[in-house]
Amino acid sequence: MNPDTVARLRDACARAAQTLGDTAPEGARRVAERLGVAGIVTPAAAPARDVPRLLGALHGQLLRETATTISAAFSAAGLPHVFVKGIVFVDDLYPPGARELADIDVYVARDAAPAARATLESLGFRVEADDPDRGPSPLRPGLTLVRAATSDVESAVVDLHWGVEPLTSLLPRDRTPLPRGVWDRARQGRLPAPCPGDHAALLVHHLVHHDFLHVVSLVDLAVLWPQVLADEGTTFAATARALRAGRVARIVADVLARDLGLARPPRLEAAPSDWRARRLAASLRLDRWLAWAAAAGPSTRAAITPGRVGRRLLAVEHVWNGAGVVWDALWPPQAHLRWRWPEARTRLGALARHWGSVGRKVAR
Amino acid sequence: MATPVKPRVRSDVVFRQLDEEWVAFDPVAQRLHAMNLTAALVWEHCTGELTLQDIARAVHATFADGGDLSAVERDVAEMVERFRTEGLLE
Repeated sequence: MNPDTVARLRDACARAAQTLGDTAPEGARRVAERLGVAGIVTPAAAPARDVPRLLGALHGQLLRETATTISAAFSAAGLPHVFVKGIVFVDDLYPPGARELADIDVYVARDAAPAARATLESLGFRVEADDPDRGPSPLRPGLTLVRAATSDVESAVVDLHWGVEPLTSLLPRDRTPLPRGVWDRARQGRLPAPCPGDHAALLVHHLVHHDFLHVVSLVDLAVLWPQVLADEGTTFAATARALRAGRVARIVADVLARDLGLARPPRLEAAPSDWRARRLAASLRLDRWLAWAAAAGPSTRAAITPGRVGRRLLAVEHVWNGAGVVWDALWPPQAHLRWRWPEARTRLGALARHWGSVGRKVAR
Repeated sequence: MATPVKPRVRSDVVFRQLDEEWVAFDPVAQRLHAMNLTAALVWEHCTGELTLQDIARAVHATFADGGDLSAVERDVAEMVERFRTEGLLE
């Protein structure tokens, strides 16, 4: 990673720490740790033989081996697949041990999902029950599978995706396949993966989908950026539009240019200048962004909060796309209500609890 | 318990090279052991088929300037004894 970018990221972490009232010299590192980017931002502060770091590196190594096994099994079963995010980047874009790795993300075509699940189960993976951090499974175009082991270091989590969660609704929906072009342009390296432009667009989509809390995806984007520029940003812009994240892609490109000193792709249109874009761009000023992401707990990812609704309304491509977001906030689907309010005996009872919860958050 | 004649490392211990160092993770004790190159070489030869002398000769042969074989034998014996006391041998 470009040393200037790392230095800027470290400065932004330090300013974010001050915003959070942590003025100690170690404040920047604490923020970076909370955001999962400590190995990237403050490598000198963590000695190479630090036990937690070695354990993290070993876990990452075992996940990479598992991903290779999964890829071979999918190929043997004739299942086209692409891996995305950390599992792809950790070897190619980062120094050893710098990038934390929590799980393996892999996409398959929707009609291949049952076979992919069966293949993973034959490798010892089992479907995980609903995770409070992810929301109810039936709504997601994907599954989380876990292979338990004696120790956390050896356990493995696979996020199997067969679609992209639409940004025009607040809660997941199983209806948007990965754009055809992503499959056509995929690269067959150590692990099959989207080409850099497509991958960057998926990272932007991921940022929005997770309410901009997965800051490590922003860092991945910054590391991938030189490769995105190879075609002057043409693929990135087109795929981001196809994922309904074109508007945010242009805004995030401005953040990368303004706050991390990276070049703006010539083929990427200028960021929109309407009030929604200006509000979003202001909240994504890097130090501010890092501060609220570090302050937010992981529990907010699947919850319906006023902040999340507001940011999604700023991020959607067109104002009228916000209708789906508002609808989800007011009338969450039954599966969400059952997952969030399992003690409620009727749908109306769950809805009342939901509205009460949102109302209290708005009042706060 | 004495050092076994033909030491064998536990099959459930995870042993990997991470960049320029080697680690053995004991999933039962939840302990991580970092190793240098020589210790890693000894570990890889603890298959249950080689005696301490065989292992010492193999390690000695790996290095162009392996030095005195008897010194290597002493080091290997110490390392295997360390593996044993850490509970890493079968």
